[in-house]
Amino acid sequence: MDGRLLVVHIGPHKTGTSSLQSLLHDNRDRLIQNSVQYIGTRVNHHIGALAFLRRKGLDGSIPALRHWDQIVEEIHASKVNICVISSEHFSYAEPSQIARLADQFRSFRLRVLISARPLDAVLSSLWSHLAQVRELPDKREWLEQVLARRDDSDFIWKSQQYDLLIERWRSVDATQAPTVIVPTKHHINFARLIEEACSFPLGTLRPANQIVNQRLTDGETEFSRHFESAIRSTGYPHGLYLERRRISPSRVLRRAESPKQINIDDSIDADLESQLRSVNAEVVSQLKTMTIRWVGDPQLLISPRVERQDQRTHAPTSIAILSTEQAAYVSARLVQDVVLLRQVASDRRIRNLQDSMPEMRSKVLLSILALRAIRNIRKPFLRGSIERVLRAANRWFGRSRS
Amino acid sequence: MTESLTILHIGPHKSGTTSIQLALYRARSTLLSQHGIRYLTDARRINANVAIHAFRNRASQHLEYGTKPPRLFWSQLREQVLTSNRSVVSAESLSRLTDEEVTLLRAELAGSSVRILITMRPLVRMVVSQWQQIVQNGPAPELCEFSEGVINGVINTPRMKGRSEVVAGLQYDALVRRWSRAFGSENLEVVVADDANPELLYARVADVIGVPQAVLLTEKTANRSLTWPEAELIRATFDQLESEGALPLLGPDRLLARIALDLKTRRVPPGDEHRVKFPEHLSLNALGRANDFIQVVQELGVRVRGDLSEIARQDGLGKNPKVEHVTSELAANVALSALRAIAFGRPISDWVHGRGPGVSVICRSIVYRLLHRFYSAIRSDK
Repeated sequence: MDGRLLVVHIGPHKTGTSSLQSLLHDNRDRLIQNSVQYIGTRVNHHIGALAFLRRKGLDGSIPALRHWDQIVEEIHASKVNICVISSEHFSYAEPSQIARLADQFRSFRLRVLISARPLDAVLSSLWSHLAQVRELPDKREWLEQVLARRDDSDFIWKSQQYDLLIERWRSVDATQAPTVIVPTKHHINFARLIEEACSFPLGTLRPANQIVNQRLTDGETEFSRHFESAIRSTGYPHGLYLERRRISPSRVLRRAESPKQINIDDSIDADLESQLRSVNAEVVSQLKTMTIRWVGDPQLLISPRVERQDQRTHAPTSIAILSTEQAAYVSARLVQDVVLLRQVASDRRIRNLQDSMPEMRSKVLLSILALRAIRNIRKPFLRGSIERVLRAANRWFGRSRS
Repeated sequence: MTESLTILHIGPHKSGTTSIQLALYRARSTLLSQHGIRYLTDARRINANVAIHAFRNRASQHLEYGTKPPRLFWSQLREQVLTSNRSVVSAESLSRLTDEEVTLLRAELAGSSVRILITMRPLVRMVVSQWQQIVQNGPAPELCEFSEGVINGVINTPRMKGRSEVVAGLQYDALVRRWSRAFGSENLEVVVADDANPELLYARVADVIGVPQAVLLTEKTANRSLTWPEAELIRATFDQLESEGALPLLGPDRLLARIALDLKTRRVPPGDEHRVKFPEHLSLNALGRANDFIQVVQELGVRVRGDLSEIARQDGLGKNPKVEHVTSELAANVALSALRAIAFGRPISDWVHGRGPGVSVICRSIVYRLLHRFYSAIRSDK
């Protein structure tokens, strides 16, 4: 059988997935012209993947299964040569779920695409990412905890241990050799790599020259982490949770115009670093013995050891610091965001009021009619006040009473 | 009937006035019932600053009275002063009065014999406290710039423009001369606070008023000062807001001053965090200014309670390092305080209980009036 190609990009987290996804999303039109469809309308397929895997999203609930069904339908209905879906959550799939996925796309040639970065870099980024959304210990402690529970059942290792991840997905790949892409920092080169990995015609993807979902530095993450714990200790009103999410410091820090930190040394201590590197080396040596279709330079997976010990002049990472300029910027921005949010809210209230004016007028008219109808009631004091109300109403509507 | 006697506590700012006012306010019923002394304040406030603003016809930073408080505030206070046998009035804003205004005040209070109480702390501490106060309230000059302006009387830098009144308020020797000229140096009394033993200040003030010391002893209201990185970060935040043109938007209800207040109550700074130090290189000038003051006091023969040389004491001198980086913990707390101040803070005022009549009271009175009007309309209709 020589069916159409379906590329399933399964992440895992923190391996350049956001830039890959936004690259595909931004180039939808050009892809279609080359008979390639990036399914759906969103940047990624997280909701569908979560629904398929029955996993909870950030809001704590499992999305409805129809989100996944829509994706399946769209893929089956499409007339193009290559379909692509992408979500980091696929990397958590159990073997039975992987088999079910293969079953749903029997008529396609499936290509499993895995992006990979050195494990030590990935774990640092992962800490930074998770610390913004949940309560975590500091970086060193967290890394020690993660290293201590290295085990396939742990959710971090389940997705980040590439050798096991590849073995789980190998059987569904049409060629039995999953594709591993090693991203580079260079935009154009990265676009070429994706084209090669997904068998797109060369030059289909046009990179936008911007950094997507750039990770925060350790100081910035610590800032975010302390903010979260401080806000929890003050008993922030729960109803304002959503509002707070919209105006959290990590969002401010990621804005393009926010002052950026430069020359900040995010290294961790030497012994922890060497532990991470040995785990990484182990994984990479495993990968080299496996049948894999490599895209990009596998050598990049072993991060070069930078001799940092002698040039580390200030700030061990346990006391993460932030430039005063940046801290002041965030505080000022938060203040203005609240003011802005209030303005938006009050504008909306005024608009709502204006919208409901015609309705109000008709209600007033109706009650005037009702009052006219009952004005003949034989209760003199009531009648007097009804007359007065009617007179006032007539005045309001600009009619003079004869 | 004996002639009425009034004790005017004229501050100056940052000499422990708030704690004295609070002690007097809390003890006001004891003062009146057991000693026949009335502590006179603006309605629902612990001091008489608004009345003094009314007397000067100057704008008040307390907006519950609008920009310029009506003259009525002053005339009421004056009447109370003149009609009561013994009274105490405390207002820091009195220390900002000019020569003419002091003379005018003397004339207005001609029916009463007036004694003036001046509280003092070591000069360098007062300068640093004043700077911190300015930092809390909005865009502020640097500490060096401010101290230099205050000590040397230089106000030509852009950030010090418009602060001539603050600078004038810190010329304590001129202050003593001005008040002694109008009221006579025999009616002046200087009380020096002892930073090592703050309760002595209450005791000495009680002595001046002529009541037992126990009357003014209340629980301490400790209000910690900002540390150096905190102050600099708050200053940088205000600068940022100002540079983005956001400050008028946030208006005059002093919500912004809540940032520092919230930070001070919520955050416990680590013990090794740098304290605000008075700039070393100005120590000689400061000493000179303090000695000027001491000299004037001695020359005029003003009565002093406490150790006058305390004023020239210079502890907490040093260099304040440039704050280029702050710990992420401090940054997070300042950001949270900013958020809390703007999103949930109530406007600042020194009302004693909350903020004047609540909304419910106003609503109730409106409903009552409407109902009343309705019933009377029905009656007249019959």
